[in-house]
Amino acid sequence: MIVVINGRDLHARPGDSLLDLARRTGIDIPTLCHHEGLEEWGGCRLCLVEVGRPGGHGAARVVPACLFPARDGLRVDTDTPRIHRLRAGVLDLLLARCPESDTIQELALQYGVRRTSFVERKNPDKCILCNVCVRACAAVGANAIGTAGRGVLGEIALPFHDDPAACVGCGACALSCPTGAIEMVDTGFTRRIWQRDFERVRCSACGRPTLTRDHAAHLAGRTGLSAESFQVCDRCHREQAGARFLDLLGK
Amino acid sequence: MTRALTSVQALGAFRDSLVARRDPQKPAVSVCAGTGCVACGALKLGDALRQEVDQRGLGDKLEVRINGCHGFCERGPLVVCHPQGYFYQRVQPADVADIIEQTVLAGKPIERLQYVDPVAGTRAVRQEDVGFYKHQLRWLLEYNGRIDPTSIEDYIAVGGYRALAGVLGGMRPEDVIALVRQSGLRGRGGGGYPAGVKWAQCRNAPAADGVRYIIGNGDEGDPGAFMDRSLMEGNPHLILEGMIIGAYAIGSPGNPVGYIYVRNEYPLAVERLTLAFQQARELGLLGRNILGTGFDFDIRLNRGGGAFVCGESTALMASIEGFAGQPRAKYVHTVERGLDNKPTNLNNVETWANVPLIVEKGAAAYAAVGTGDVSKDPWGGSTGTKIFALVGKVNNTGLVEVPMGRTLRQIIFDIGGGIRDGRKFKAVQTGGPSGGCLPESSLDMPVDFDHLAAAGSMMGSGGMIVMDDGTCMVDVARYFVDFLVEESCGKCVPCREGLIQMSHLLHAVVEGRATEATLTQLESLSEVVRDASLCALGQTAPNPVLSTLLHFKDEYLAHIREKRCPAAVCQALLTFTINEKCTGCMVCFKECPAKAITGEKKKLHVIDPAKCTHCGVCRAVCKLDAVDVR
Ligand SMILES: Cc1cc2nc3c(=O)[nH]c(=O)nc-3n(C[C@H](O)[C@H](O)[C@H](O)COP(=O)(O)O)c2cc1C
Ligand code: SF4
Ligand code: SF4
Ligand code: SF4
Ligand code: FES
Ligand code: FES
Repeated sequence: MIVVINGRDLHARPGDSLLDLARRTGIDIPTLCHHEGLEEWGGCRLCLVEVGRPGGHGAARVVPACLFPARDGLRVDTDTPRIHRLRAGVLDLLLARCPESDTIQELALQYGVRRTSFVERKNPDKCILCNVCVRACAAVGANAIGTAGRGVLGEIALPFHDDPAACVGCGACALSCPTGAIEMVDTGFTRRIWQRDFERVRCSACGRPTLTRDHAAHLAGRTGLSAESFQVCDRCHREQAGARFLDLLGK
Repeated sequence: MTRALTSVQALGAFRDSLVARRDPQKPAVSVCAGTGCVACGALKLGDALRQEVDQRGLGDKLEVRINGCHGFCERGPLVVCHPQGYFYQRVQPADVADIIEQTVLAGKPIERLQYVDPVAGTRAVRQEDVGFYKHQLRWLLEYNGRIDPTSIEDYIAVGGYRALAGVLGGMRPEDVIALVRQSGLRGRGGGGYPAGVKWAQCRNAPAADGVRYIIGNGDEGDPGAFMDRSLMEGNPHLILEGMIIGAYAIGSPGNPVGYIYVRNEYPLAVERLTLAFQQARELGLLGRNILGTGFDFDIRLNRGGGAFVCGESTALMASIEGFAGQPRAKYVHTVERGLDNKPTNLNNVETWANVPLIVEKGAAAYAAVGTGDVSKDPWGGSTGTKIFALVGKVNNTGLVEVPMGRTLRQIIFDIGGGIRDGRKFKAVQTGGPSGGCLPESSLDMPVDFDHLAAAGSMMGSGGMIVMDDGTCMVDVARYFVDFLVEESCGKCVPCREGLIQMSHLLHAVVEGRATEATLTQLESLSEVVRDASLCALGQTAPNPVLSTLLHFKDEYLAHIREKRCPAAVCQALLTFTINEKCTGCMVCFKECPAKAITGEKKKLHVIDPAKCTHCGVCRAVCKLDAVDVR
C-alpha cells in the first residue's frame, strides 16, 4: 500500500493512520490529543492535513492525520499554506485559553503566533481539554476522572467534583498530560494528587518510594498476581530483568 | 383488538371491512390537538365537544376526532367539520353548541368562525380556500387532519400499510432500493444525502453476523422547529411503515431490531410512537413474521440525550450505545461501521415518512414533483415535498409543506401571507441555527438542497425564520453564535474555543467597540471553525456570520464606523431624544434610572447623552410617544 505524503511514496502497513505512517517515516505532524497506546480522540485538530479527493477531482479535503486511515494511492500534504493557517488559528485559540502553558506557547511560536489575537480567558488554566488524562485513567482501569460540563464550560474533574474514591494515585493522568495541567506532588513516601494523599510503597529492591499502595492493590486485582509482585520500582525491575536475561544466556 | 393479520390479503380484507363500516357522509368533527392548538385550549375544546355530544345523546350520529397538528397553528384551535369540510379557526368551548346545532345538525357553516383573508378580505369556507393551504402540497401532512393518531384503524382505512403489503408481497429488497433511488428522495434531516444510495451502501456493507441497524432520527433540536414532532405526534404509523420497508430493503437477518431516537422534550411523540408500535405488533405488522411473509423486524424507542448535538449521527449512535452524546470523528462511514460498529442506516423521520408514498406513487410520479433530473443521478435534483416550520415576522406562521423548488417568495408571501404589521421583508434564515441569512435578492430562488447550499445557507431540517426591517442582522448573527456556543459539545478546539471568540467579536460590534479589523478577524476565524472542526455543528456554525457579512456588510460597517445600529436594535448604540410631543408630564424624569433626564413640569424634557445608559425606560413609560430612538 503506497501513500504519497508531500510527494514522497511511502509504504503503509494495514491499519496505519496517516499519523502512524508520517511518524515512522520522519515527517513531522504536530499533535496534542494523540497519545501512544490510547484510543484516538480527534479533538485538538492540530494534526490536520490535506488529502486529495478520489480521482483528483475538486479541492483537497482537510482531515486529522491521527484518525484518517492510510489508503493505497492516497495523496497527502502536511504542510500547505492552508494547513499552516488552520494550525496557526487553532494554536491562537488555544493560547487565548491557556496563555501560561509553555507547551502551547512553544507550538504557537512555531506557527508564528507570539501572542493570541483573541480575548484571553478570564481565569486561565493549562488544561486544553484534550482528554488524554481521561483516556489514560480509563486505560489504567480506574475511570476516576471525566469531563464535567459542556462546551467552553467543560473541565476535567472527579465525579461530583470532589469524590476521589476511584483514584488509585497512579499518576498516569498527570504524566500523560501534554501541558502539565494536573498537579501531582511526591514528597517522600507521600503522593498528593486529585485532592488526596496516597502512600507510596518501598521498592523491595532499592528501598526508594515506588508506586502507591492503592495502585499496587489495583494492579493485583486486575492481574490476579500478589500486591508484593508490584513493589519493585521500574528501575530495579529493569535491572532484575536484565540480570535474569544475562543468567539465561549463561554470562 | 382484532387478531393478527397473517397475510398480505388479510390486510386488504381488514381495510375493506373498516371502510365498509365507515359512512363517509356521517358527520365528524376534527379537532386539531397539536402543540400549538393545545396551547390555545384545544383540549378543553375537545372535552366540551364530547360532553355536548353525550348530553344530546348524539354519540352514534357524530364522531369527534382528535388529530395531530393541521399546520396553521397561528389560527388555532382549528376545527374541520365533515362531510362538508367546513373550516373553523380560533374555536373556543363556547362555540361548541353552535357547531353542533348549526353545522352538524343543520349542515350550515358558521360565518363568525371562518377565516377571513387579512389582505383580500375574502372568506374561506373550506381548508383549501385558505391562502395558507391553497399553495401547499401536503403529501405527508394531509393525513394529520384525517386520522386520529392513536388509531391504527384510521391509518389503515386511509390506505396505511398498503405500501408495506405491496413490498412484502411482491418486491425484492434490491427493487425497493432501486425504487427509492429513482425517486430521488434525499435526506430531510440535514445534508440531503440520497436515501437510495445510503440504503444500497448499507445493504452492501459486509456484516459477518448479519446485523445491520436501521435508525429513525427524531431528535429535532433546532429551536423553533416542529416538523418532525408534528409527524411523530400526528401520524406515527407513517414513519413506522417507512422504517419497516427500509428494514426489509436493507436487510438485517442477524438482528431484526431498529431504533427510533426521539427528542427528550417530546413526551407526546414518545407516547404516540410507543402506542403505534404496540398496535402494529398486535396486528402482525411489526415483530415476528410480519403479515405471514416470514419477514421479522421490531423497533425500540430511545429518548434523546437532551442536547442539540445529540441529533448528529455519530453522537446519536454514541448516545444509543450508552455513552455521552458526543460526535466521533469517523472516516469509515456509519453505513459500514455505525452503531456498535455494525453497518447502520440512519435517516430522519421525515425521510422515512416519504417511503410509503414513494412505493404507492411510484418513483416517476414522485420525482415528477421537484427540481432537477434525478433519473440518472440521485444528486441531480430535489424531489417530492419538504415540510418547513415557517416562523418569525410573517402573518401566517405554521407548518408548511411544499414541492421542492417553490421560491422563497411563494412560501413567505403566498403561504405566509407576507410580513406582519405591514413592515418590509429583510431576510430569511433557513436551515436552523447554523443556516445562512438570505436577503431580498434571493426571494425568487427555488428552495431546494442545491440552491440553498449555493447561496451560503442550507436546507437543514427545514426551519425558516422570516425577519423584517426592524431586525438587526449583526444582532441576529450574534444571537445564533451565542446559541451555538451553548450547544458546542466541547470536544474539538476550533468549535469550542472558536465560537466563544466569535461571540466576543460580535459582541464588540453590537456594543460599538469594534474596528474594521474585527471583521477581517471574524472572516479568518470563520475559516478555521468551518474547516478545522470535527463535526457538522462546528463546520456550519460560521454560516450565520458569513452570510450576514456577505449580504449585510453595510450594517456591520454602520455599527463600526458610525457607531449606529440602522435597525435601532443594538442597545449600546441607541440615541434617545425627546421630541416636541413632550408635554412635560415628568413621568420619564422620575423613571429614568440613570437620572439622565432634566426638565420642569409642562416644559420640554431633555436627555443628557453622557448620562443615558440606553435602557429604554423613558420610551417605554412615555404615553405620548415623545421619545425618539435612533
Ligand atoms: C449538530 C447537528 C444536529 C443534528 N440534528 C439532527 C436532528 O435533530 N434530526 C435529524 O434528522 N438530523 C439531524 N442532524 C443530521 C444527522 O447527522 C444526519 O445527517 C441525518 O439524521 C441523516 O438522515 P437523513 O439522511 O434522512 O437526513 C444533525 C446534524 C448535526 C451536525
Ligand atoms: S492518578 Fe487517579 S485519576 Fe490519575 S490516572 Fe491514576 S487513577 Fe486515574
Ligand atoms: S488535564 Fe491535561 S491531559 Fe487532561 S484534558 Fe487537560 S490538558 Fe488534556
Ligand atoms: S464541532 Fe463542536 S459539537 Fe462537533 S465535535 Fe467539535 S466541539 Fe463538539
Ligand atoms: S492529534 Fe489528531 S486531532 Fe489531536
Ligand atoms: S397545532 Fe393545530 S394547527 Fe398546528
